Amino acid sequence: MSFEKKIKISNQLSELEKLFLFTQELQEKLELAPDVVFNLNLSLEEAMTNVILYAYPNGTGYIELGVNATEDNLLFTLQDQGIPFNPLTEAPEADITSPAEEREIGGLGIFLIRQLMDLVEYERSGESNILRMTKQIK
Amino acid sequence: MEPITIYIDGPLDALHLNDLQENVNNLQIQEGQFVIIDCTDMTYICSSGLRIFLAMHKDITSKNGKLVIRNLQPLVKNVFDMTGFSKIFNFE
Repeated sequence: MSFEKKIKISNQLSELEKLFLFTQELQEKLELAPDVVFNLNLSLEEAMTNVILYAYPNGTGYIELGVNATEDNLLFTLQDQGIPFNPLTEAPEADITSPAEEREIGGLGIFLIRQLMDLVEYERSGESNILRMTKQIK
Repeated sequence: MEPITIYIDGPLDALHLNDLQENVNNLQIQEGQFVIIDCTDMTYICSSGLRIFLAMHKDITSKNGKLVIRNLQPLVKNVFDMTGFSKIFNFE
């Protein structure tokens, strides 16, 4: 079986509610395990939050999230028309070892995305940032 | 001095961060304060949620107090483990 769906949100954190409805629908359609859904929520929230907060410094913009699901894989495509930004190379490196007093928290979002997804790729295409994230489910 | 317990119910995602942040801002952390965050019913945490926990930890320890995180659920604990936050906090 296969399943496709796409959502479009504006660059406001309150719009993330649509992400959680989206993953809930995925869970129901594909009978995903609770830990898979938890980790999808986390990695997709981190990816979308970065775009919401930083892609459109001059005003309103839109963000599209699509999924192409097969029996083995979920391919997520996150697309925006904001300033060019490759999170895989330009985000600060996450600090996961320093003691609390010295710890910088930047870069944690992209770190989590890399940890929780099986493959993450970035492409700048025309005016768009495209982040493709693949999760194996079998 | 009585310990302070903060009880978090549901997901600590971007939609719910402000509620916690407001509550934390209203706390009067005193010298030597003991604070418990009860996570029995916290179903989720994002990195911005971790950031609030870290800021609390810094604030409380700088005042010679102690912060304890109580009863983290396994999937949430996994986020603390992955990000190295497990080494910073006290759990029970």
